[in-house]
Amino acid sequence: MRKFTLEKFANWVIRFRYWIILATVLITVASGYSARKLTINSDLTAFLPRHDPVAELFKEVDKTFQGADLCVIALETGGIFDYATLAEIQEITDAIEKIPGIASVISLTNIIDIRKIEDGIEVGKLIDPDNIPRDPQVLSRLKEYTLSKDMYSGVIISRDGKSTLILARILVDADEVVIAGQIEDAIGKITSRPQSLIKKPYYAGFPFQMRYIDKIIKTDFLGLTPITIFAVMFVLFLSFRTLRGIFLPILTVLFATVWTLGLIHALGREMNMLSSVIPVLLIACGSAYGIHVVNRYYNEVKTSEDKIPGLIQMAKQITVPVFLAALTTQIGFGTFVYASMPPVQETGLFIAAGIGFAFLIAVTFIPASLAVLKVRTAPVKKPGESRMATLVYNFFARFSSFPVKYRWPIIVICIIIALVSISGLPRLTREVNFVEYFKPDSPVRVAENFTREAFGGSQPLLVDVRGDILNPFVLKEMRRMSQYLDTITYVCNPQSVADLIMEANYQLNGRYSIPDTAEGVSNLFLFLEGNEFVDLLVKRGNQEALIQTTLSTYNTKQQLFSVAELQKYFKDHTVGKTKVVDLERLDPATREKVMVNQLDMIGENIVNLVKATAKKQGNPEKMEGSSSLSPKVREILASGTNQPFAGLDQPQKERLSVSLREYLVSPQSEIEIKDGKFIDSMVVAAIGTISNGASDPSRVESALIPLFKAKKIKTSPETISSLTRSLSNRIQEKLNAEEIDLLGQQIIALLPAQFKTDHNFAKYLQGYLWEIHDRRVALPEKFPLGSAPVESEISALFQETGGPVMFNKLYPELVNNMMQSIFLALFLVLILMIIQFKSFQGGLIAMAPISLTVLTNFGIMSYFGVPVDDTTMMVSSIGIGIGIDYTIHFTSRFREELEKTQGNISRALEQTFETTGRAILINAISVTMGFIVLVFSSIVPTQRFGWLLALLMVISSVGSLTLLPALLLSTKMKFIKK
Amino acid sequence: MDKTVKKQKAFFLSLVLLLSFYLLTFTRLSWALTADEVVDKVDTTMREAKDSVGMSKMILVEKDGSERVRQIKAYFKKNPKGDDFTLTRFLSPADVKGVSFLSLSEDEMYLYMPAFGKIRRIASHVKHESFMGTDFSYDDIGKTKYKDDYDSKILEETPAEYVLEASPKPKAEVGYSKIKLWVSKESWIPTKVEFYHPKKGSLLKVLTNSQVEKIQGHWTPRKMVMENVEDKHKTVLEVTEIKYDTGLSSEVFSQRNLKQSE
Repeated sequence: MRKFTLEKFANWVIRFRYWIILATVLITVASGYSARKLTINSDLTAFLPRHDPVAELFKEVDKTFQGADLCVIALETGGIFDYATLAEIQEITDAIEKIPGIASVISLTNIIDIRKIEDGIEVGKLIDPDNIPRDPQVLSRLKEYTLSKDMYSGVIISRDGKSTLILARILVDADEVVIAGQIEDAIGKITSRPQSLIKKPYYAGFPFQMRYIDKIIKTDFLGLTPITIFAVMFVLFLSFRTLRGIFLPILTVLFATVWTLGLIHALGREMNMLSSVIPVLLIACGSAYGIHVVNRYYNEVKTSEDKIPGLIQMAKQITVPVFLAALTTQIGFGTFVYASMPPVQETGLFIAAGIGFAFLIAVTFIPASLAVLKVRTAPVKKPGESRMATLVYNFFARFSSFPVKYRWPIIVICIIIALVSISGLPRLTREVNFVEYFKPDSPVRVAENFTREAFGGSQPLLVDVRGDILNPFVLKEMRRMSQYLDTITYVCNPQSVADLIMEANYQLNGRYSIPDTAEGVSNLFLFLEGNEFVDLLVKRGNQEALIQTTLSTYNTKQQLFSVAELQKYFKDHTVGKTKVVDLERLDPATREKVMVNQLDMIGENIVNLVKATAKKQGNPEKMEGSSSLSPKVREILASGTNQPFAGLDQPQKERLSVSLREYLVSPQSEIEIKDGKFIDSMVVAAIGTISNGASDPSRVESALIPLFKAKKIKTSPETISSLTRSLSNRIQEKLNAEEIDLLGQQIIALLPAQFKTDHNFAKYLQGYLWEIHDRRVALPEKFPLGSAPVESEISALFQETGGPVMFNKLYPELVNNMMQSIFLALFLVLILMIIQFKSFQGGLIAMAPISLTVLTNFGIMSYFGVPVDDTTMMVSSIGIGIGIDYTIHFTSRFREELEKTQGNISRALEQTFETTGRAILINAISVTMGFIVLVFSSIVPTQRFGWLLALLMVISSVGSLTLLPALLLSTKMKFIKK
Repeated sequence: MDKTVKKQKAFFLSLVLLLSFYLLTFTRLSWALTADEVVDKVDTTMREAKDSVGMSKMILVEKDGSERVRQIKAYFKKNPKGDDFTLTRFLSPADVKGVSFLSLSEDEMYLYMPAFGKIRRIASHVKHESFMGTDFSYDDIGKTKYKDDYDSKILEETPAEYVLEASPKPKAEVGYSKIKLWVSKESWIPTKVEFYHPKKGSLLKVLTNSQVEKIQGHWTPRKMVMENVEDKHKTVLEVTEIKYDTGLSSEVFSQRNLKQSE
């Protein structure tokens, strides 16, 4: 029945040969037209799984905060603080600002600087771009100032003062790749001048990465494809030495490739880093079908008379094995249908489709063409005529007896190879970091390395916060998490809007802390709104914010360690869910309990601050052993709040008087008083009301009213109470400040010497200490409060995200996906083999060479340190799909020859080696040559993919020619005789 | 009628025609203003009142259409000797109520934050930054004298308005590469102003003044919309109440007064 169908099919192909050729050409032209419009997707987020919550969050955050639009340009100089260098940075800033798709640029020469001045702040540019200093003294002061500020140092300028960053944001609807190119051009024009002081500009951030990816996709696609074509043509030339022998198989794969590319565009997909290898893979794998068909043609058709019957015979014999070979290869690629990375999935499926096309063209277009073409009388008629053929013939003549003679040693060697490979498996590594995909000398890697070294980090690890961001307790929670993040070994420069608010609070009120009231935060935020940094960190109407950090490593394991440390924090703390209480509304017992919790929290923050500072100072190990620090800090905090008030000493009273007098004579004072003596009496009266270390406005008021009455000063009661509030506040603040100063000194005394001179540390430490005086404090959701009144409950969603978190998610999935696809491929191919041989045992034996190949692949990967990545994960399944072809061709021919020789095994083996063995060898060499071209790719995993696959082809073809016959002979091949 | 009479009539007629033509052209010429004169008129119209006290609703519209509304009260007093005095006070929402901003000059500004009970002096050298999160820069709010900083030319004149293009004077410190104004001939209030990016030269912001009414003899736009064309952010200012020439004393613009609640 089947034979009949194949014969009918063969006749049909020959009858409609002209139509088939025409149709093939027409489809190719149409596909080519469609493929012409193919676009490139250079967005790495396209590699992230679809419908996966971790990936979705990553993409969402990236979109909300426009991560894809941020260009980071690092400039390496001999020293920034020099007139000419600053002028050049200014020129570059200007040049970028002039590019139409740029939304904003932040650089050293346009960054806003807020300085504390007496009683206020001064807002200006850090460096006036119109008046860049030339005086070396001024420049050296500027350097000292800039490097002392945490806002700049290690953020926009490297700590050594030699490199600086320029951040440029691209407008949402502009083309990132184009703009990135324009930025590179604009900067290149300036820095390539002989007088330029910029040693080298580095381009980091998404737009530049995309631009580079775009470039390498094009070079890979346009560069590797022709090389593959030539490599395969060369093998075909050596094998057949006829024009039709070269061109029919190559046209087959070229047509199939064009059809596939046309299909990709027709389905609305784009080319990406992975799918750029589609042409190379299709040309390499698909050429096999044409080779087998043409090889069979030369076997069957020797003279013109043979042509039509020969072609029919050819079609009858070759269609099934070629079909099976194509089907198994399709299975190999098709198993990625379940892969979590969309490009892996798509590339697998499109190649599977392309293989289908190649098969279809090989069994229609090639016979049709051969039917049209005249039979040449001088091709390689018999093996043995050309030198190459002689070599092959002699080799196979000798080789055919080899599996018969050495079948047991072959089997034993294979078992040993398998065992060695298995024992290497534990060494197998994984790689999910996209940056590792670029060559070490690629601009992307070089820029990553540079920014990591000069600025401490490059790859962002983020915490996305959703909720009422301007709620003081959400901000405090962000601050706390930030402080913890800062202690993690590879984490650099955590930054969030909380830092900006604290900085504003520090500038305006002298304390680096988050106020405990919504009013306090809003008052400060009003001042910050519209600031470009705020815009980078808060979005969606203050309902979403980021805690940004970068990692100082792109070693996957170290990145995963950082993620694990962050996840530990999430596990240990009830992040984002708190209730807020007003201490003054609590009964003393509850208040004490709450205060204990509050001091614990402050203590934890301070200890984390110490750890983070030690890390920054470069000796974290010094603090490692100090597990006693925490209780000591805690003790100091408790002493500050529990100690009874000892009364004011004289110098303290003196300092208070100065402060109050200063206020009363200032234009801020509610009442203008010129009488110095009267002011003195007011000051003494106000200080006299201090009781137990606290000042109370009502007590101050009752002390002052008699004085006003005696002096007969007429003023409204509102003015008096406003004045007394001001004075009382001033007293309280001064008292608190002195206490905090003292506590701070006690804590610093516990620490190594370098902490004593670290001004930033002192500033942050005092910020935490101010929280001792917060009236409203946050408690964990489950804190037992009994019936005590809760002022508000706060719920904010904190979620970790960023590249490393994504890798953390992809890391296990990579291997799962790979194993899934390998087992699926093995299973499906096994079923096919069982059906083919109508024997379970036969199926198993047919699987042996390919199973050995897969194991060897892992052995090689383990011993040569080739990591599993999104490309190398595909190698095994593809190897199964292609490698099994050799088994199919071999067994199918062997059965045929066995039938012909009536069971003469050695004769049948010899015949098989001579005919199909030759085709297998040509096939394997041509596929290997095709794959090996991939080592010229610009993408590291593609290179590995290429040589691994090439190696697998060699192993599986050799396996089919050695292990397979050895097994067939040892199992007596009952199934094969059926 | 005889020929001479006819001739005379024709002569007179042509004379009248000629005269009226001259007259028309002449008056026409005398009506036309130079660009400087138009800008002058704009500047004086907008600074006609000696002082003003106004209540406004400020709506900040995000790109996604979400809105934040604030009520502000603004005091203004013309200072013939130097920079004008302004005092801006937030009335709502509750968490910023009482925040006040006093501007006496560029170097002397004061910010009062009731949450901390403190007045802080602010010296700012950055005028092109956003004013408290709005699409107006400190400059847009303070500056009403186009003539001092810009050279103008008339692009177009229609029966109702002048269209001017103003380019910054060589040494002027302005945040734009040029501005375009549509000035109403009736009120001398620009109904629309386009601000162009200082570096790129592309359109950056558009100010639209509408509901222009004569209040106490002063033309007043009751609604101002400043839209940032680039980031699609918008600030709407609606004047709900305004009084001119109330004789505000300088005391209003003092630190002492900054703390007063409304």
